[in-house]
Amino acid sequence: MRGKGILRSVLCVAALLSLGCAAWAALPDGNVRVGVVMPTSGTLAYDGGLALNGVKMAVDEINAAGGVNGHKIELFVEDSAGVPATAVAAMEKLVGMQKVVAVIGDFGSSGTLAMMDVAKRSQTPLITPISLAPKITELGNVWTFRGCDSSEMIAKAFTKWAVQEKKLDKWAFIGVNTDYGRGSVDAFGKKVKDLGGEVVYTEYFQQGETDYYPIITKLKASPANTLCLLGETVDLSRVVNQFHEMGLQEKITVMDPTSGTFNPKFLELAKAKANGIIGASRFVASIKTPKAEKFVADYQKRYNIPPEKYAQAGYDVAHMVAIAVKNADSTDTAKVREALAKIEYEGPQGKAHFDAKNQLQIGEYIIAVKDGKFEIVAGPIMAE
Amino acid sequence: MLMVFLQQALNGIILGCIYALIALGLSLIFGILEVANFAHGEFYMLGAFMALFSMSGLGVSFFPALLIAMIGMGIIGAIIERAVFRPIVGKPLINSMLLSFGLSTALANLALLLFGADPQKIESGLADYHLRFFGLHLTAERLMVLVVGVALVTLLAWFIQSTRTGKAMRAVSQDRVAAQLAGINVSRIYTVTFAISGALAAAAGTMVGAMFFVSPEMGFSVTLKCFIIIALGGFGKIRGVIVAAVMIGLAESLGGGFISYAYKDAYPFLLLVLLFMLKPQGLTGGSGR
Amino acid sequence: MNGRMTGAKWLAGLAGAALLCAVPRFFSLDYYLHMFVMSEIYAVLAMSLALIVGFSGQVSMGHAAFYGVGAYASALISLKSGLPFWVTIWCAGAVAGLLSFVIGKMVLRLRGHFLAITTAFFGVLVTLILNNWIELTNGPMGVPGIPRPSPISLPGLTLSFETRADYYYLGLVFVGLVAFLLYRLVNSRIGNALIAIRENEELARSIGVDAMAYKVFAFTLGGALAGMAGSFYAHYILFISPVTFTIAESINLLVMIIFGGMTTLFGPVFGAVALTLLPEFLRMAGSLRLVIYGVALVIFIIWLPLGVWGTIKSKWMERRG
Repeated sequence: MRGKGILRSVLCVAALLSLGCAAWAALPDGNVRVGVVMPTSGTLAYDGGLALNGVKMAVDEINAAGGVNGHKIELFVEDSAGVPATAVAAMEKLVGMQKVVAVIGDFGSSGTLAMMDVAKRSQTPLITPISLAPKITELGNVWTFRGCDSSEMIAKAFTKWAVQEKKLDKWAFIGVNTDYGRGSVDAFGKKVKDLGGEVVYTEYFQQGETDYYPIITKLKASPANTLCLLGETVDLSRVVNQFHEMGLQEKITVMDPTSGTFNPKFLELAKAKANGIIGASRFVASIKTPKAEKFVADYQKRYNIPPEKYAQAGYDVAHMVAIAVKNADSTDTAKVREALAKIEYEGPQGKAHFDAKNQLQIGEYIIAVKDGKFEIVAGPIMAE
Repeated sequence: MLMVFLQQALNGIILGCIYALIALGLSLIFGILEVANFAHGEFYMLGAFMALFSMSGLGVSFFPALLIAMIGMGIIGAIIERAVFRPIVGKPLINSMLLSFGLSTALANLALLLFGADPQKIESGLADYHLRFFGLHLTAERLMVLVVGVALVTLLAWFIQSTRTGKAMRAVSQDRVAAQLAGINVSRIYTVTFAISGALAAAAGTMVGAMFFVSPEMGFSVTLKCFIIIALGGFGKIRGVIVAAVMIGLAESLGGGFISYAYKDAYPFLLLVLLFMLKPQGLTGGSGR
Repeated sequence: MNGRMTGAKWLAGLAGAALLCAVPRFFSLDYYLHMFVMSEIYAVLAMSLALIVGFSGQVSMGHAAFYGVGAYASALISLKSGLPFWVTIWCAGAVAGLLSFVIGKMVLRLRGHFLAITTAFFGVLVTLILNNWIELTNGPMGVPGIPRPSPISLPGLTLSFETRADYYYLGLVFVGLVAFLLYRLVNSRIGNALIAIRENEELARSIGVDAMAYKVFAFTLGGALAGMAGSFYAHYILFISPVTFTIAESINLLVMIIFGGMTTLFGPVFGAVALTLLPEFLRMAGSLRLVIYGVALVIFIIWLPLGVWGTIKSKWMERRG
């Protein structure tokens, strides 16, 4: 009898222990595998690399702090080259061969839109830190998240300030001829007109265009008092350089509401010509919260340049994925997706959460360039 | 309106000057070796990087850097001719097209790997001096492009017209076999041609690097444009190419300013198609080979 | 050319077909299947381009334009009218075919470099229109939400197109039909006329071949087939935007046919499959990938100008005398 009693109690303890272990070991042994699809070749390679910088730094931070519940995050990076079919191949590879729990990417909206079908079919969460096309969150694909602000959110916050407070009424738009440029010009133009302003001039340029004299010369002859630029760092620095070469800076205020210019690369390329640009951004390196200051210092130390919005987005999205895996306490992609949708995150940019369409809700800062520095004029303004 | 027109025309001429420098080299290669060099834009890109690095690394100023880039790319051009193009001279056009396309891919991506995607600016120090005359606007930098461009083109024309090597180049482009029989060292002429083209492309790249930027992907679109120019101007014809280059610069500038900027890339082609339809012999006549 | 199939050839063909059908059993990962489906699309594109460049000798640098026009035609028609893929793929062929007929009529008078550059122009023009005619094409935002092909059920087989394997089988049929069509074509009188034009147009004309008509025919058929491949692509990726149909893609197709060998029918297929899979293998090489690709191309054209399959075939012919 006694023997049986001992046996029973041993069995009980063992059962309890194994139960306990099962609860602990919800995350399977081995690393948490996370995929990244970014353009590391082609015309978007530079900007894609910035987002990747942010992702890598976040992952190293998490791993140095002991990982996710003791499991290290392992990163798998694939090149999309900015080509939709290549982005699809990259994501299939990550999902099928590397068995990642989530994919961060792509940069351009075309790549992200093409990968969305893979996300849905393979039931893998896909978070883009950059792509702005409204369709991404409007197609009802629950597996896709946008981990940054959308054009409409920025337009709402910025035009109110510019048209009503600054009394800027005659707007000219120069935008990049992509989904991002076209979509933003539409969103901003609409808001400007709603608030009683006027759109007097709109031109689009091809990505990577060098010579902007034709449209700047035309701008000179238009009645505009505000030039609103919507594009990426390098193209915009050419526009601003040539804008100054034509001597338009006294006549027209330059606006950059989607913050293609608020980064150190732009300052290096445009130098003093950057001064006077006003715009909005979800992030600049001069935000003075403890989280932002630590992020800026660490990034500066690691990459020798201050971070900008792409690095910040990559950094935040990588952290969000890690937190989602931690909250889900599982590498089951459905559970990770649910945890991600419910996330309450606070990063260098501020507080953030996803709305019902998986669109990130964050605040905007109004920024001005003064003596080669980004000064925060107002904010954060929430669009909601 | 007139002022806007004149300003656009002036911009177009300066652009045309740059195109002429690049297209002339391409045209020489085409006329003399009868190969299509789709990697020509990469010569221009590498030249720009060479100037950039001699300024940042050796600390020289803009004009010596321009010279270093031209010499450097001259040498690299000669090496590339020997190693890559020599084996396919005389083969069908599509071979050289695809071969040079491969070369272009390799060079552009090698540059991406070595120098990074990060675009950089060559500081000529002239961009902040503004000239104003009759209401027209010009920076000293653009004026420099105009002057250097015209000087180099004149030098090239003189070289081809008056030197022994130049005469030999013309002979080879007219009839390779006859030139060989007349005792001209044809393979040396090939190498010289590539060296000259490389140097001209480097000069153009350096000046564009000052006006705009230097980056690994700056080459390819320029190559295509230059093929249009040499088709327009007549393959292997110096004067035709210069006229065509300025025409294309004007078409982009005026078309982009007055018709539609979004369709800017179509105007050079449109000009070419019009020419083919109206005058199949090419801008300056001669064989439509 | 020996047009008759011997028993051994039939057997080899059957075995090959069976092997191809079994591929999804061995490579069940979606990643591999995606690469195979893309290879099939490129195989059709390469064959259609080989008809123009390889068999008729007309260098076209704008083939991706027809691919793109077909993709857009099919996507837009199916989204606006609700017609199924099985109808719109023919519409795509018709629209692309019509366009290539018109362009062909205009440009095929030109020779050599002039032709290459003018076709490049039409390629660039189509990309510009796709980018800027917002009302029709939605510009750079692209066309999302393209429907999958409606399910088909044959006796013993149902394809729902929810999986990549279903697309793989459909693509296999597509490649097979196009290969069969072109095989019959190039071994017919038309094929002989085209080859005669490629070898010496003046001579062909002098013996009474209406060179222009044959060239336009080849250009039109090639364009139409590319358009159908575009339709397949659109209903496979389910999203299209102008970045896919650029001049770089046209050049990529030219590279495929010269890699495989463009004067044979199997060559382009080989080139398409090899050059779709090769860059994926080279993913391991990371940023060196495109450098290796470029260098390989250079070495290739110097050493194997006939292409891989073309070289094998000519060596084999030599040995047989």
